Amino acid sequence: MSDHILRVEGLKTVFKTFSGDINAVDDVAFSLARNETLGIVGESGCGKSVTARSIMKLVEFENGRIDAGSVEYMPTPDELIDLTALDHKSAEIRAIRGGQISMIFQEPMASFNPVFPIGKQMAEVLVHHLGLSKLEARDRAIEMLNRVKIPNAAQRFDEYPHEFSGGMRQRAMIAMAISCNPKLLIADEPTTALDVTVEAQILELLNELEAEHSMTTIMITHDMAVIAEMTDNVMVMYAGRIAEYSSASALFANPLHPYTQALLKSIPRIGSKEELYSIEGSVPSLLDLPKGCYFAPRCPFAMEHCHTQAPPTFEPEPGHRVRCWLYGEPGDEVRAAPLTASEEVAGT
Amino acid sequence: MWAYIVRRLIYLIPMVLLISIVAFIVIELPPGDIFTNEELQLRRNGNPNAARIVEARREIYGLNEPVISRYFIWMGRIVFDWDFGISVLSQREVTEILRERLPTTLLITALSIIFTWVVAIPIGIYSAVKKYTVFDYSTTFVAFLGMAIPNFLLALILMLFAFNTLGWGIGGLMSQEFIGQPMSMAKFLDMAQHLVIPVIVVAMSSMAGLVRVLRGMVLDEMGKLYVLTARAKGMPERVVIWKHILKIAMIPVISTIGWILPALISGETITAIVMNLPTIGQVFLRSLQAQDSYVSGALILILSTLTIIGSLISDILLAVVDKRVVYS
Amino acid sequence: MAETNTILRVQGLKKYFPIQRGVFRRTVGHVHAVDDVSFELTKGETLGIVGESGCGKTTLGRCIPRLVEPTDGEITFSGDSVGGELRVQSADKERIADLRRRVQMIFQDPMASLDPRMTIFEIVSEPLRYNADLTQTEQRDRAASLLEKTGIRSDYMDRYPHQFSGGQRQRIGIARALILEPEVLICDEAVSALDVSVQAQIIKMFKQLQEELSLSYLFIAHDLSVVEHVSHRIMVMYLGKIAEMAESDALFDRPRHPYTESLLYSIPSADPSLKGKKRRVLAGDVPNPADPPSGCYFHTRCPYAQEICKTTAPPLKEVAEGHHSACHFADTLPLKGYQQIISERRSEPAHE
Repeated sequence: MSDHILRVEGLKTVFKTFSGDINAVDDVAFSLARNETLGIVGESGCGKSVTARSIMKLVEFENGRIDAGSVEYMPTPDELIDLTALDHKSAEIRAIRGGQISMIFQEPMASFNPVFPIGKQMAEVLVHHLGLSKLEARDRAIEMLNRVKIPNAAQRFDEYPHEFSGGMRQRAMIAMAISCNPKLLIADEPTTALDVTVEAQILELLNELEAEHSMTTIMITHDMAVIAEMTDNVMVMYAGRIAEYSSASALFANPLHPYTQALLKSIPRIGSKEELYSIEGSVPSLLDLPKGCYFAPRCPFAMEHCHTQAPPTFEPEPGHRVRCWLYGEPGDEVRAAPLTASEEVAGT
Repeated sequence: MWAYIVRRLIYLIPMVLLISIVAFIVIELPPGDIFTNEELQLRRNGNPNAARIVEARREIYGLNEPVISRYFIWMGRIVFDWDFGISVLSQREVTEILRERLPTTLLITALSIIFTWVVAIPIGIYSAVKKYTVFDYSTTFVAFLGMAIPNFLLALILMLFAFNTLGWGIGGLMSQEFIGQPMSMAKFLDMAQHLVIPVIVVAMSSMAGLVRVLRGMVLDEMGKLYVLTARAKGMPERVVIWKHILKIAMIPVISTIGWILPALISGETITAIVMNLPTIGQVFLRSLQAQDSYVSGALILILSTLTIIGSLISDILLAVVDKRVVYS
Repeated sequence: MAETNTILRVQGLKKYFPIQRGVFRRTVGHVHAVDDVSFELTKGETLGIVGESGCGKTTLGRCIPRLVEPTDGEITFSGDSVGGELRVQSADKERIADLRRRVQMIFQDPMASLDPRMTIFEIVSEPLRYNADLTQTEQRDRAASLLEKTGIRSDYMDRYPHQFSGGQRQRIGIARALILEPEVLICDEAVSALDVSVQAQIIKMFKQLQEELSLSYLFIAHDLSVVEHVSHRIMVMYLGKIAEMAESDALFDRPRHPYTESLLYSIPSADPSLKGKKRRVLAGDVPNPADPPSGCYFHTRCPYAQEICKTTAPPLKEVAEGHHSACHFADTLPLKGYQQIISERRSEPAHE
C-alpha cells in the first residue's frame, strides 16, 4: 500500500443555527496519497469548504462541531495523528496549522488583515512555527515573495494589502502558506475571484510549487476546468455528501453519477454550439434535505427507492466510487476504508 | 499622508474663527448683561442713582461698546495677549480661575478615562467572545443600567452607600481636617478615597457605551476571513483577538478619541456640583447663569477649539492605524 | 439607420474620471476608464464584451443608459417605436425616461440588486408604476406573466427576496428588466455570481427570451466560455480601449490581437489530458489605469511588441470582413486560435 498522508473516515460536521442543526458534511471518506492532488468539486452548499475546515478543526470557531468520523494525518509514514481528537484551540493542532497543513482562501483582499502590512503577517507565521527572529523572518518572507515572482519584494514587504493588486495578493497568500514548507496545502477556491489571465498565472505557480516541494494538495473549486487541469483524483460533492469519487481522467471520460453527468453537460465549451443542459430545480437547502438520495428530486434517472433510501457507496470499477442506486443493490456496497483511485487502478 | 494632515490644519483656521463668532453670539443672545440684576436690585432699594452706577460699572468692563467692536476687542485680547478677560462675579482673571481649577478637573477626568478603558475594553471583548453566556447578558444589563441612570442620581446613591455602610467621608476633594494642610500620606489616602466615587460615576456612562461598541465590532470582525486565515496559520486565540481583531475593533473608538480633549477641561458638571468638587464645570454653569460673559465666552471658545483639535488628532490617529483611510 | 437594422450605435465614447492629489485636491490627471470606443449593435444580436479588471466594460455598460455621464462621444438609439432616433447625450428628462424604458440593465449580484424590503410583486411592477398607466389588477397580471416567463411561480409574488435562491433572484431581476418591454438589455456580469448549473439555466433563458421578444443584448462578462456560447459578436477590451472586435467564431479561430491570443491561452479547459502541462502564461499585471503605458497599452506585456508599439497607439482597423483589431501587426502575426492552442498544449511536456 502506497504512502498516505491523510485518511478521512465517516466525517460528519454539523452547524448549530437558530433554525436548527445543519448537516454540512455527511459521511465523507477519502484518502490522500503523498504528492497527490485531490480535487473537491461541487456547487454552493455542497460542503467542500466545510470539509477542508473540518480537517483543520476550524469549524469549531463558527458554531460547528465534528459529530462523527476521524481525520488521520500521517506526517511521516511512521506517525499518525487523529486530528479530530485534538482540541481546536490546543497547541498541537496549532503547530500543525500553518506549519504542516496550510490553507489558502478565495478572497485575497479579505484574507489579509487590512491594517497590518503584508510582510508583518507573513513574518508572524515564520516566527510562530520556525522560531525565527524578526530579522530572519523578514529575510525569509522576502525570499518567498521573490519565489512567487512579486517584483520589488523588499519594498512590498512593508506595504498594506490594499496596495497590492488581486493577483499579487493571492501570490502573497500562497507565499505565506508555503513559507513553513507544509506537507499539505489546501486551496479553497484560490482563483475564483481572479481575472482569467491572473488565474492562469496562479494555477501555473501552484503547479510549479507542487512539483518543486513535493507538496500534497487539496484543490477545492466549483470550476470543472480547473479540476481537469490541476487534479489527479476528484471528489464530487452534493448537499454535504460525496456523490462520486474517481481519477480525474475517469471522471471526464466516464462520469457515473447523474449529477456529475449533468454538471459536465452544463458547462459551456468553446467551439461546441450545443444547447447547454440545465438541471431542473435547484440545490436543496441544508435545512430541508429530501429523504433518500439528495439528488433524486432532480435526477432524470430516479427510481422509486431513490426517494426513500439513501444510496450507499458502490464501486462499479476499481478506484471509481459512486453513491447511486443505478450501480448496485443493497449488499453490494463498499465498506472498507477507501484507497485512493490511482492505487485501486494500479492494483497496489 | 502629509497632504491630508496639512489640508486639515488649513481648514482649522477658518473653523476656529467661525466658532468664535458663534460663541460670541451665543453669549450675547440673552437680553441684558451681568449687571441687569444689580440694576434691578438697586432700583428696588429705591436708589435714584441706580442707572448711573450701573452705567459706570458697564464702562469699566467695556460693555457699552457696540457689539462688533466688542467682538474684535475680545478676540484681539485673546489672540495677542492671551488675556481671556475678567470674571465680574469673582473679580478674578479668567486665566487665574482656569489655572486654579484645572488640576482637579484633569485629575478626575483622566482617571475616569483610564478606568473606563481598562475595564470596558476587556469586558467588551470578552462578552463578544463569550456571547450569549451569563457573563455577556449580565454585563450588557449593567451597561444599560449605567447608561440609563443619570450621573447625579448615581452619585447620590453611591455617596449614601459610602457614608452609611462604609463610613467614608464624602463630598469635596478631601475631608475637613486636611484642608489647607501640607501633603502627607494620610491626606493622599483621604483624597484618593474621595475620588473613588466621582471617578466611577463619570466613567459609568461612557463605559457602557464603550462595552457595547467594542462588543459589536468584535462580533463583526470574528466572522471575517482574515480571522480565519490567522487561525489557519496556527496563531493562538489570544493573538487572533488581541492583535488582529482588536486593532480593527478599536477604529470607532479611535475616531472619537479626540473628544477626550474638551472633556478633560469641562469635566462632568452636574456630578461635580452634586459632589461639591472644585472643577471647571461648576464655574462654567455659574457663569452662564449669571451672564458672566467673559468667563462663559472664554470657556465656549476653548472647548470648541479643543473639540476641533481633538477631531483632527482622531483623524490623524485613524490614518495611522488604518492606512486605507488615506487612499480614499 | 433603419435600413441597416442597427438598434444602437456608439461613437467615440469616452469616460474619464479625474484624479485629485495634493493639499488642494487639484486634478492632476484622469483615469481613462473608457477611451474612444465605437461599435454598433444590430437588432436581435448579442454583442459580448470581455476584458479583465480595469478594462472599462462595466463603465461602458453604465454609460449607455446614462447611469454614468459620458465625458464625450455619441450614443444613438433607433427603433421602430415612436420617436425614431434618440440621442442619449442630448436627451432631456422626458426622453431620458423613454431611453431608460428601452434599455434595461441586469446586474451581477442577485443578492444586492433586489430591495430586501419589497415583495417580488412590488419589485417587478415598480417600473410600471412610474412609466405606464395601469390599474393594480393589470399590474399584477403583467408581473405574473413575466415571472412565469422567467420561471418563477406567480403565486410566490408576495414573497420577499430572501426567500429565494441566487438563481431565482436573478430571474426576478430579469423579469423586472423586461416589464417595460425594452429593446436592449445590458447584462453586466449577469451570470458570474451563479453556480454552474444555475448559470446554464439562466443562459438558456436568455436565449429563449431573445428569440421570443426580439431582444438585443450587450453581454458583459469575463468568462470567455460563457461569452462565446451566447454571443454572435465579441468585443475584447483592454484598459478602456477596444483591442479586437469580431464574430465569435472568427475571434476564436483566428484572433488578430495578441491580447486576445493571451486570453485564449489562459482559459482552463475541461480536458484532463492537459493536466500538469506547462502553458504559456501572460506575465505581469494589468497596468494602473491612472497611469497607462505609452503607445499601445498592451506593449508592456505583449510577447510580440516592437519599437513602434512603444510610441504609437494603434488605431482600430478592419483587418478582415467584420473583424477589427487595434494592433500594428494584426495582418501579419501568426496568432493561434483556440483549437490550435489546445493541440499545442497536448504535446507540451508536463511539469516535473
